[in-house]
Amino acid sequence: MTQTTGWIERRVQDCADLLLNNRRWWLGLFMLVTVALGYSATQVRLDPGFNKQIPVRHEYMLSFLDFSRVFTGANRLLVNVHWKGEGDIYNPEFLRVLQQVTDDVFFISGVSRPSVTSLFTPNVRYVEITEEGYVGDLVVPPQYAGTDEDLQKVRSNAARAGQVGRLLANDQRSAMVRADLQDTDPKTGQPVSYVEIAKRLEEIRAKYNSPTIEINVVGFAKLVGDVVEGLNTVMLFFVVAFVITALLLWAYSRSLPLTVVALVVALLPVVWLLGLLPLLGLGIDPMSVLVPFLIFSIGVSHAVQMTNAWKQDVLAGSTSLQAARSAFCKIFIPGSLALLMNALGFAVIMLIDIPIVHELGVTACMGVMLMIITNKMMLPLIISHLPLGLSARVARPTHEAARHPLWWRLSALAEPRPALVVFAISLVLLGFGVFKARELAVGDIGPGAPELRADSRYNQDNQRIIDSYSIGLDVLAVFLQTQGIDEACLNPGVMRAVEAFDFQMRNVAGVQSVQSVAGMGKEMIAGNNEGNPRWSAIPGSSRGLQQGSMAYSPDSGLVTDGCKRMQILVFLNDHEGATVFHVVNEAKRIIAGIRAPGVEFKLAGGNIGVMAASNEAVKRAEVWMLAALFCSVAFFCLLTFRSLRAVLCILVPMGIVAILCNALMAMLGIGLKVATLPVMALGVGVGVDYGIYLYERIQHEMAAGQDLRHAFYRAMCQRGTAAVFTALTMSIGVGTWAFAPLKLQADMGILLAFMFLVNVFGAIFLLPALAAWFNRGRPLVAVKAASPGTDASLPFSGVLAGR
Amino acid sequence: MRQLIGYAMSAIIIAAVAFAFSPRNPTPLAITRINADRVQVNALLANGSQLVAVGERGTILTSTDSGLSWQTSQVAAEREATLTGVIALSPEVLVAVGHDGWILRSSDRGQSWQEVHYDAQLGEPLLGVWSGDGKQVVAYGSYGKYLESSDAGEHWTAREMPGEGAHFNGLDGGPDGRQMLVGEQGLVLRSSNGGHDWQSLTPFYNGSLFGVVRLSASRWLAYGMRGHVFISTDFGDSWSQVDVGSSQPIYGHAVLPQHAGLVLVGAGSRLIRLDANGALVDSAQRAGLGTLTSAVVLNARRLLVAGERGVFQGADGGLAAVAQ
Repeated sequence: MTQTTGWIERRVQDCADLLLNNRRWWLGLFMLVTVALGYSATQVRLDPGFNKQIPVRHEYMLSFLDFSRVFTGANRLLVNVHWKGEGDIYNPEFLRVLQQVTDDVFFISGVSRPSVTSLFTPNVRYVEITEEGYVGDLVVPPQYAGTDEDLQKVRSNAARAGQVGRLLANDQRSAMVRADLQDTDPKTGQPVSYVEIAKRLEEIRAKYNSPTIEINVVGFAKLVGDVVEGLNTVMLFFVVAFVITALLLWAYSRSLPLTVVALVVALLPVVWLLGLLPLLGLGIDPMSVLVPFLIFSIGVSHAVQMTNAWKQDVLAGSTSLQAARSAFCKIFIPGSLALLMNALGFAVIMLIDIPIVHELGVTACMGVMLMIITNKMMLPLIISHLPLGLSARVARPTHEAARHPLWWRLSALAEPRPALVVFAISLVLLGFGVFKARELAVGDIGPGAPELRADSRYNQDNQRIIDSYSIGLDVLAVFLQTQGIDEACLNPGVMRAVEAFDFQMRNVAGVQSVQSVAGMGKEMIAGNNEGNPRWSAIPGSSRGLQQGSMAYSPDSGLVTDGCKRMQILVFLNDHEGATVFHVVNEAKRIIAGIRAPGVEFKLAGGNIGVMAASNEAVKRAEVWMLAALFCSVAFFCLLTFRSLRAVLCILVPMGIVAILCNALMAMLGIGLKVATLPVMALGVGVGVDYGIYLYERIQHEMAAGQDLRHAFYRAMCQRGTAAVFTALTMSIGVGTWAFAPLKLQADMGILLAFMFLVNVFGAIFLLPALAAWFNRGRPLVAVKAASPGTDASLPFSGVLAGR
Repeated sequence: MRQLIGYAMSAIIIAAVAFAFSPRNPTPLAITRINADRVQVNALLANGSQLVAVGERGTILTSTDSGLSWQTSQVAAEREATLTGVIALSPEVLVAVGHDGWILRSSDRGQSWQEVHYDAQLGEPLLGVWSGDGKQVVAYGSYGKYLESSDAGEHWTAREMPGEGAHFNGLDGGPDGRQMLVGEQGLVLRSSNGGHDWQSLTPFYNGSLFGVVRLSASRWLAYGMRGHVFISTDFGDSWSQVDVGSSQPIYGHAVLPQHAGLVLVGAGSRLIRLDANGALVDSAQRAGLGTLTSAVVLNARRLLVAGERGVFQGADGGLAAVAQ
């Protein structure tokens, strides 16, 4: 142990020499890298994708990806044309617009053309039973000319087409154009660009919006388009955060050079990271856009610690170079440890088995690791060249001169009695936090897209469509695989199993309607028997089933040829976490109750299937992520400080913070989901910095013979000021996101700001209080016998302090 | 030991973390039970103050509060076949018929049901059931099916009927032995001796008829496809069409008490009110009820209708207006 520690310190000193003795070379090299990566950073692109959000290894998604090769429809667009004028939609103006919108949607590149469906498309037909038998035709007759007679015909055909509530609003004042998107553009072979499609759709909206017509568009592609548009304001927020940070830095350091250095050094890892992304073939998506912010914030935090340490030495009389060397030696170990912790925090995010989250983890991890180079190596090089301005010397007296009154008063918390007050307050917060945290919901909360604000155009459009139709975008697809049955649609056992599922699911709370081949077959059988609804049933013989054979065609999108595979579409009222959970559980229960040989039900596709899978993945990952995070932080702290009590001092405040974060989410109505789960890992990972920096100093001071209170006081003076300052800076920086147009960003901003602040409170209040009680009886850290500098051969204090 | 407080504090917080992050489930939604407005209903019956609705996949619902709440009945055999008709032979004994030749009988006011007939081989539906005296019962249906029971629905025997295998859709009769049976492609059969002998009438309409109503011994009404309603004042010798101002098919009816006429229901949520002579009083289209198959009179002011979207409780003032 002794040898190791001494060895580490010697190595750090060797590194410092290696670095600073050739400082021009190193600086030149880093500058070159910066320029190269800066150029590469201009190539960074936005890279959103539907499949990236899917937890690809979840059992549901395996079925989904398997069946989505035969059934499309998960990536659907709905364009609603709403008539705002007098009367219903059967007027020449509305129908002309509907026809044009249908055509325009049809010609959007990336839209699967056979899937385009509206009253004007040939895949929508009406069927009428007359005395002579079946009559079926297009809803809008080919010779349609807009005369009153034609309009009457369209009106009655539309009513007979059975599309009320689907393509036709229940109140007859809107009609819909529905289309599915392809994954790749067959013309170019490139993945379909959702941003482009969203633009085309916005053009359609602009073209046809009028005092009498309103266009509403929903669908994943449009959502991505809107989110990307919202991201364009991200730069603005970056600038705001940058300016606020700069002002605060200046107010804190009273030195322009130090401010500029800190900002530049904090920007470097961002530039390097953005430069590396295109080289690695990665892009920025709506979720990982927060990473550059975080990296910048963390960068500022570490730069402040380093410049602070350097300044203290310079003020104590060292030269720039000496001070830089000493700052490197002091900061490198705790700083790198803290950065490793951060990286760990980001790495555990990868436990969530969703590609988009993996990318976030990789990006963030990379950014933090880069910071070890830029912040811990490049910064000493820069400051070693820096003459400290006289103004700073005068403005800030050295801390030895007079006691810092605030920190001295705060350091009372390191006495057992005041510590009890802290404990009491912590327990109250803890109780409240636990109570609220139990209410945290997994999944989305509220209707509409949670990424966007409730009053956003997209969510308003979504609301209008939900209000006017019986089906929305929230679909759970349940798949059926038949084994060893020819023509499964003519097999009463199979069809009754489908019917049973359809029937029972229809009665589940949260389900709006169900579409299945059994339902369509029943309609067709009734149609073949004079339309008599009493025939609308699945007969017990395959001869009876043959009457519905028109419904068993793959055109319906519900079955494959020969009905080997089928899908049942369950439309939900909303996609709130609780609804999804309930419906999926009920589906499982119903499936378990259906006995049909040769039929296997498989969950689950559609956007609800994806949500169910990601909610389950998130739920599972939440526990694993926190466990991994806490355990690894504990492990690394134990390795560094060699003391269980040290681990508890650092870990316990983090625990309260994690609970409070969940409680805050529950109170703000933010659901735990793919987008918000990483925030906790980030918050906890970043928050552990403060504890590590402070504890490292306390240990150092106590080893030098100080009592706990004085050690804590000195730690606060040397590191605490910087920690509180950076926490404030980072909180304000990410706090500005609360005003972002995207709710996703606003939520993340509020949560992160909260985490940064509460973490520092935990470190400066609870950490000393815990230390105060751990320090009783046996000192927390043993005093080293010799003065620092010659300690290489002496036992490392932490070993003795351990237990 | 003096460090105990520190350790205790840590232990409390770690336990709290474990509890706060232990798996939690959202508050569950309403328990799944059959939703009376999400099940297709093919026939309604008012058995005194009790209401019975039968339909999709053998669902039998009963209500004792005028249709505000419904209970599911127990069916001994789970055939999952859809039921199409139900009658009361006495307040205690009920009979329901359905697809696959399924006939169910209940002797406890519809609480539990026993299977008395089933024919999965053929898989063809019975479409209705009728009895004049509660002892002699007939069930009729697709492809000229005609089953008789003379012991209040315990045992059934099939019988050959005229009509060349056309579907039988509706039957009505009276205590005087006069009965009429209507069906596919304008088929009308008539019997004057309680169903012993049936006579085929000259077709007066080439579309299907879905129901027939005896208004009096000589006044009969038949309804069917595309809004066609016919009335005969001479027990079917001659028929005249009643224009109801709609071309949507009519699938069910309810006779109003005290000779106040009748209400017809059909596709497009259509309700048609006729007086005791078969003249049109009113015709109205409700929103969002879908295709209606059946109606029953709750009292002089209220009517309950049912169809492909389930039963609709009588709270709708519009229905009351039609029923008045």
